[in-house]
Amino acid sequence: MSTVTVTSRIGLSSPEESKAVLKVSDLVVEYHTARGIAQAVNGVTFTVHAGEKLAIVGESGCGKTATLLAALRLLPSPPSKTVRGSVEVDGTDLMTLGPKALNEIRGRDISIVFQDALSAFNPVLTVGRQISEGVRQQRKLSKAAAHELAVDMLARVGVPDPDQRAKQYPHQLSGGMRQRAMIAMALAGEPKVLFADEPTTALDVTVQAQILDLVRSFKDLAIVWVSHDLGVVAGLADRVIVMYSGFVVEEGPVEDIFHSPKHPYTAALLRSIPRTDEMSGTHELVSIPGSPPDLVALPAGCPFYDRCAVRVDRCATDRPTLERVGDTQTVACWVAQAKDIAS
Amino acid sequence: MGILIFALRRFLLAIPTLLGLLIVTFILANFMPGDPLARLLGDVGGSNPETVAAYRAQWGLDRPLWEQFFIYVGNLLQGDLGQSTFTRRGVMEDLLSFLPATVELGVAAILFAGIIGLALGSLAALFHNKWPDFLVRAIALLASGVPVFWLGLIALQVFYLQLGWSPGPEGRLSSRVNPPPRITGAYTVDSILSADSVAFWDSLAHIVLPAAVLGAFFLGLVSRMMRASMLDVLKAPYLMTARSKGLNTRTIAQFHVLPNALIPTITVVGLAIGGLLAGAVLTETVFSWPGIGRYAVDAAKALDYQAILGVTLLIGFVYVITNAIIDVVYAALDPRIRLGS
Amino acid sequence: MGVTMQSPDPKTIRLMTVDQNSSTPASRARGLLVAARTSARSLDFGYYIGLLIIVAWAVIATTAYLWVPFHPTEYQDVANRLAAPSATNIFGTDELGRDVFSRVMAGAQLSLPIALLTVAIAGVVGSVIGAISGFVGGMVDELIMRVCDVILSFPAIVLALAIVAALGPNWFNVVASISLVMWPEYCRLMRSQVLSIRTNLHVTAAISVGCSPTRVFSKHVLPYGLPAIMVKATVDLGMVILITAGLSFIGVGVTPPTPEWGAMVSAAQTRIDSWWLVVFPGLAILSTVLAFNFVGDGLRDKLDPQLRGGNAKGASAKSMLQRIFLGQRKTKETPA
Repeated sequence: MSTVTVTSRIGLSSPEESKAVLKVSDLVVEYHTARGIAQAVNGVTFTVHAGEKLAIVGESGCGKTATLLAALRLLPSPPSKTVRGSVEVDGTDLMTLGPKALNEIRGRDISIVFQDALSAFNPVLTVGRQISEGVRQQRKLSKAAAHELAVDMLARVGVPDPDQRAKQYPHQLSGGMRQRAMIAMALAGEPKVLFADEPTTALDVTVQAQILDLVRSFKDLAIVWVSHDLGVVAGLADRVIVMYSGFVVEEGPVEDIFHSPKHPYTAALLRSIPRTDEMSGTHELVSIPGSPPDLVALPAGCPFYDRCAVRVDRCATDRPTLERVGDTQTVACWVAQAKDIAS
Repeated sequence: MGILIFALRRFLLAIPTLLGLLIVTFILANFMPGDPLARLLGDVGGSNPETVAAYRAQWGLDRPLWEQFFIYVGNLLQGDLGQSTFTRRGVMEDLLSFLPATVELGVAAILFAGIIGLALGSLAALFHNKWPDFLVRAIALLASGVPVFWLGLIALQVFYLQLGWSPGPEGRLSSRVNPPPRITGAYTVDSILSADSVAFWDSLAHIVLPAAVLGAFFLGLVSRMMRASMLDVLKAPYLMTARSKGLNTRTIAQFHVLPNALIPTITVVGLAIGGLLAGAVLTETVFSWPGIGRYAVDAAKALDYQAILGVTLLIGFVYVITNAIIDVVYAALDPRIRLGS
Repeated sequence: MGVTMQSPDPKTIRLMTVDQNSSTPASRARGLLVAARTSARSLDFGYYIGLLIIVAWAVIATTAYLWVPFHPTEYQDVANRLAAPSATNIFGTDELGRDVFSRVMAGAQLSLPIALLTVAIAGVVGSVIGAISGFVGGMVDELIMRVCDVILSFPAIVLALAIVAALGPNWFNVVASISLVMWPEYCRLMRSQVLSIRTNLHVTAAISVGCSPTRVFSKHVLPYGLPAIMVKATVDLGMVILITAGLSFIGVGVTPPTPEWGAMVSAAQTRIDSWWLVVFPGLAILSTVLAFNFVGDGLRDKLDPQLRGGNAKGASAKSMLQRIFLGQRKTKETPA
C-alpha cells in the first residue's frame, strides 16, 4: 500500500511552507455493531502541508468523518475502535500519547469544527467562555484575559459586536454567527491544522459563502475539510481525497480531479452533480446505480465492483492499491492503472 | 438580571394557583359535616353565647357564601385558621409548632436521597449496562413501588429490633434527652447552635432511619433521572467539542457533564416534592414523628375538620411555593429557559 | 391505509406526557421523567413477568374465597394467635388468630377493583374534559387548565385524606376521592393529544368535509390519544393501590376487619416483632405495584412507534391489542 504524496501546485511558494504538518498513515477504524464488526476506515493515509487545504469527499457513511474523529482520538470507544495507524502532528504521534500529553496538543496544534454548531456548543456556558476555555486551561489565563481572547477571536472571524456576543449563550446566536463562533473556538489555540467536518452543510447558501470566504482567508492554516458537496470543495481545496466505503480511492490536485477523474467512482460522482461551467449544456446528470457495500462484510475485491461500469474480472477478487496514475493523481483502480501504463 | 425577572414572573404565576387552593379548601370546608360554627369553635367556646356571637361575626357565617370566602381569606391573612377540637389550640398555632419537625425530616430525606441518588445515577451511567448499572436500576425500580409505611416497618424490624442500630419509633428524641432551646425548630440544627452534643447525637440517631425511609422513593426517582440524563449528556456532541479542545477530565466533568445532567434531574426534584409531602404523612405515622403529617392523621381520626383543612392548605401552599423555587433554580442553571429562545 | 399522514416533528413524542401550554419547567420535566423510565429493550422481559403477576392476582381476586384454607374474616382461632408461619398457616396468624395467607389473598378482591374503578372514573372523566378543553379552547380551556393546576397542587394522599375524613372512611369514598384527585392528569394528557392531532392533515381534512366534532373525536383523536392514556392508566393502577393502602394504613381508608393490605400492615404496626404480619401484605402491595409499573413501561415501549405518529390504521384497536398481547412491534423506522 504505497502512497505517493502529491504536493499541491497551488499556494506553494517557499520551501518552508511545504513542511508536512500532519501525517496520517494506515488508519484503520472498526465499529462494533450488533451485526458484527463494521470496517469504517480502511488504511487511510494522507499528508497535509503547512497552509494547504485538503478536502475529503465521498457519500455519507464513506468513513470521512470517522477518519477525522479517529485522528483526533475522539471516537467513542466502544463501539468504535482504532485498530492501527499513526497520526503525526508536527512529528508527534497522537496515537501513542497519554491523556495529558494528548490534551496538550488537542486544541493547540490541531482542532476541529463540527457540522452542527448548535449541538456542538454546550448550551449552559457562554460562547466566550467556550471559545477561551481550552486556551485558558493550557496557558492558565485569568478570567479577564480569557474574555479578551474570546472577544479578539470573535472579531477575527467577523462577528459584529464581539464583546456582547461573547457574553451570550449559543442559543442566542444565529446559525451563521454560531458557526463563526465555533471557528473562533477552534482557532483560539492558534492551531497549525484545522479539521472541518462539513461545517457549512447546515447553513443557507449566502451564509455558506461567507464562511467559505472566511476560511479561504486563513492562508497559513492547514485545513482538512470533509464534505459531500463538491461545489464547496472546488472553490476551497488545493487537493482532494475521494473516499469510498472506508478506502481512499483517488487523490490529486483539485483541478486534475475535477477535469480528469481517473477512478470510475470519482467520475460518477462528478457526473451526479449539476455544474455551471462550460460543460453544462451537454452535461447530463447521472446518479450512481446501486448502493455502497455492507461495511460488516466488505467484498474481497474492489469495494466499488458492484456499481462499476468499467469493471474487469480481476476487480472481483483483488483489492486495488493506490498507485500513481498520470503526473499528479493516485488511484486505486486496476482499470485506470492499466490504462495509464498502456498510454 | 435575567434570573430575577424570571423569578418574579414565576412567583406571580403561582398567585392564581394559590388563590385556587383557597377556593378548594373553602369548598371542602362547606362540604364538611356538622355545624361550621361548632367546627370553628371546638367544644370549648361552643357553650358560651358571647364567643358564639363573636365567631359568627368574625367568620361572617350569616353572610352569603362569596362574602364568607373573602372573610375566610381575610382571617387567614391575619393568621386565623379556626380552632382545633383535639388540641384545643388555634390551628395556625398548631401548624407552626408542628411544621419544623416535618421540614427537618423532609430536608434530611432530600439531602440523603439527593446525594446518594445523584451518585448512584452517575455511577449507573458511567458503567452503562455493567453490574453497577443493573444494581442501581433494580434499586430504583424497587423504590418506585415500595409502600413507604411498609418500608418503615421493615426498617424498624431490621435496624431497631434485629440489629439494634437505630432507636425505636419514639419520635425525635429519647425521652431522657431534653430538647435543645428552640431557634430554628429543627433539633439537629438547634443542638449544634446551642452546643448541646447529647441532644445532637440523639436527634441525629432518631432522624436517620425515618429520613432514609421517606427518601427512598425520592432516591429511586433521582437516580433513575440522573442516570437517564447523564447517558444523554455523555452522548452529546458538545462533549466531543470539549474533548477536542484538550480540556482535562475534571473540567469536562465539572462544567460540561454535571450542569447539563443536573438540569432535568433538578426539575424532577420539584415533581417529587408532592410525593415527599405525601410520604411524610405516612412516615411520621410509622415513626411517631411529631410533624404536620402526624397532626393531619390525628386530626382526620378525631374528625377535627378545621385542623384537616389547615393542613391541606399548608401542604398545598408548600407544594406550590417549592415548585416555583425549583423552577427558578432550573432557570438559573439553564440559560435557554432564563433568556428564552 | 391510503392516508398519508404528515410526519409529526419529534416534539410530538413529548406531547404524550407534556402539556403543550404548560407554563413551568416542572411540567416539562414530567415528559423527561417518563422518557427516563423507558430505557432498555430488557423492558420486554419485565413486561411479561408483570403481565403474569397481574393475571395471577386477577385470578386470585376473583376466586380467592373459593379456595383459601380459612375464611379471611370469620375464622378466628384465638388459641393459635400470632403464630409464626407454619405448614397450616403458611403466612402465620394475626392477633385474633386469623390466617394471614387467606387474608392477603382476599385482600386482592378489594385492592384491584378499587384501583380499576378509580382509574376508570378518573380516566374517562379526565379524558372527556380534556378533549373538550382541547377542542373548544379559549376561556373554557383556560379555566379547565387552571382548575387542573390547583388540584394537582395537592399531593393525592393529602387531598384524599381531607375528602375521606369529610365523607367518612369506606371504600366508595376512597374511590371517589382518589379519582377526584387524579382526573386532571388525564385531562391534561388528553388535551395535549387533541392539540397535537388537531393540526394533522387528515383531521383538518375530516373537519373540512363536514365531519361532526363527535365523529372527528371518536374516529381520529381517540385512536391517536388512547395509547398514551392506556400507558398512564396502567401505571396509575399501581399508584392507586399504593394510595389506597396508604389511606387504610393511617386509618381513613378501608377499615378493619375487612381484609385490606394497607389496613393489615397498619394493624401490625404495634406488633412489629411478629414480622409476618408486616411482610406478607406489604409484599402483596409491592408485587402488584411493580407489576403495573413493568407493564406500563413495556406498554409504552410497544406502543411507542405509534405514538410517534404512525399511520391511522396503526392505531386501530385490533392492532393495538395485537401489540399488547402478542408483543408485535412495528418495524423500526429506517433513518432517513
